Amino acid sequence: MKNVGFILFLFAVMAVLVISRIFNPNLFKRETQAAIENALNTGFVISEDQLKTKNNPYLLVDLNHTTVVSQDNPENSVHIPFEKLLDKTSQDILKNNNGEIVLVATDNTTSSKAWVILNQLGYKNVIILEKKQNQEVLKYKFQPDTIIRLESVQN
Amino acid sequence: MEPRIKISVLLIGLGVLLAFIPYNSSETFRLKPDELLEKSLSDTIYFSADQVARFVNSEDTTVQLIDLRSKKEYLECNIPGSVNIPFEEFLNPDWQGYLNSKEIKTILYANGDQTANMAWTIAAGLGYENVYVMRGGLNDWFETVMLTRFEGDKITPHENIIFENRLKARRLFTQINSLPDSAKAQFIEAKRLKEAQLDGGCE
Repeated sequence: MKNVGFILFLFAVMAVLVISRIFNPNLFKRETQAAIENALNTGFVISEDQLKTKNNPYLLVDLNHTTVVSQDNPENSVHIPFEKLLDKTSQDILKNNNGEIVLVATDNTTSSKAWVILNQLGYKNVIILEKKQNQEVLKYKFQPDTIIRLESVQN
Repeated sequence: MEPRIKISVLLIGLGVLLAFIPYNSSETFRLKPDELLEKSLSDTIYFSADQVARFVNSEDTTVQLIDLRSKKEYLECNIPGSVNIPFEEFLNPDWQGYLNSKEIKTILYANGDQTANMAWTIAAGLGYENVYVMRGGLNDWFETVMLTRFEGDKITPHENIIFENRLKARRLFTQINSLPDSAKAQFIEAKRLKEAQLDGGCE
């Protein structure tokens, strides 16, 4: 009887460990390849003009350290500084949102990093608001130097 | 209870538990979210175009530049010494050696900041060390290095050092990228083979 009790106790411990691992909201769950595939889909970036004509419900998340964007859109925007993105209150706001999550920051580097983190946490409807259009397009055309320079041959 | 029955119960129970653990054969992040967030907040992951120009000029062997753009864009022009790993192939095991090195600084760049920062976050999440980003990407490289001009009557020694550094990098960039495509492809392949031989050690 004692041995059966010990075995059942071991099962209970293992079951708790497994279940807590599966349902822990603070662990990355998605495959990394999913982030790359989603990032290659151009639909994850929108411009300000596209946002104005957006019909689907969305929540604008201002990732700046001090709020800049939220003042313009008080109704469907929230200020969550990037460093507080994983706080419980921030996560509750994001999880309770029914529409898309639109990330915006003055610095594109911040919204890009936040996008990957949220994507890997399991959020599927996250998009980045591009303040300046086509930032990933090369703005300059390289002109090759095609002048042939002859080298003198010394005899 | 007989020992055999106890062991059987234990094994069956283990099997049931294992069956409920989600098996994920693909890679997932090794870092926890708060660890990755903390790393993401650091500004030390960035190098400026001037710093990268210095590495290029000095042919610093402790630095490896990774161009995340498509092969077509890479062949049009790229920073000398860089290796092309298109973003869609970032998780290809063949590139692991370039991306995850303890001895060599890996600096990622694309046209802007977005792709490079996403790639950095993925690399950091996977536990890769020594991965950095060239801030501003190739757009900033062009603005800072390729279009550098000095205007004025006098130049301070410090400004002169910066200007000379940019000029040298610009010359190198133009020379390498002005090669015909066939020669450029051969040059890149020769470089890749040379590095592969170096990795193999001395004969």
